[in-house]
Amino acid sequence: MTRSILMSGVNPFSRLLQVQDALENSRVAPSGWFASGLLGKGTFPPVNILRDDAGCIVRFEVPGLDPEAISVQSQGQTLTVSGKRSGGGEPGTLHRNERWHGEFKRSIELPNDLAPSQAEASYQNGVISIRVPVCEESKPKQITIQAN
Amino acid sequence: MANEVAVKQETESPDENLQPGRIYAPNVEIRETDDALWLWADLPGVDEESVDIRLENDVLRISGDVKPDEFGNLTPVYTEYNVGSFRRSFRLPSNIDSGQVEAKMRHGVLELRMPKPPAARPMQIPITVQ
Repeated sequence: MTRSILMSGVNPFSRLLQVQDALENSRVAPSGWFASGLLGKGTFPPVNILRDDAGCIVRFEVPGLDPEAISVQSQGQTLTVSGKRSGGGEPGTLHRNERWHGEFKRSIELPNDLAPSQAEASYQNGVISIRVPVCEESKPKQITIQAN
Repeated sequence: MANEVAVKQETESPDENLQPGRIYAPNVEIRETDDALWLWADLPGVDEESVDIRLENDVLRISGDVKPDEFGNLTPVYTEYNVGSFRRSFRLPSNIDSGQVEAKMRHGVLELRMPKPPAARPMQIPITVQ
């Protein structure tokens, strides 16, 4: 990633480009738990999973949904997101349609150190964002030693 | 089929932007009713202030910018889509009045209503029977 930015003469500190390159690299070579393709790549809608120390964020880009029509469920380590999207809503002659309509459902199996039951989901500007915190047992804990 | 729809189409803009970054063409739906031309564009991650719509010389230009700040110190571990700004232009029929275009932005979808002037609307011509 840094190699190509430095050599292209582009401002190396451009934040957006760095972010985009990082996203593109992990599209091509996903790492970690999800790399073995458990998620059924190619199904709709596309998902992005990002991590930081406090947990992970699962994002779907699905503009135009009615927020009441979205369902986010957790069962064990599986997070399931489903919803329904309808079209433009106006009748009339269709000239071009690149927007899909219909129902969608995707399930994601999250690693054991996350707690899907404590997840929080929000829908803003057409992006479903689900924040899944790390579960309590995975946080580092100091164990006191009894000295006799 | 689902695969083609889901992948964002990267677009080459003839005018280079001041900021580097990948640009995508938003997916659109265009319908025509008797009195107006409607356009819906998917602009996920873009809020109302970041959308720019221009109609000039019969060319409609839509652009929406996405902010990279929300990534903070997150690391991507599995991504199926990239995030970026949107640009797309359309050549419209010459009779659309730019002063009459209505735009609404809701949940990442831009809805444009471009009314056709009365002369362009289909008129039913009554047939009189002799």
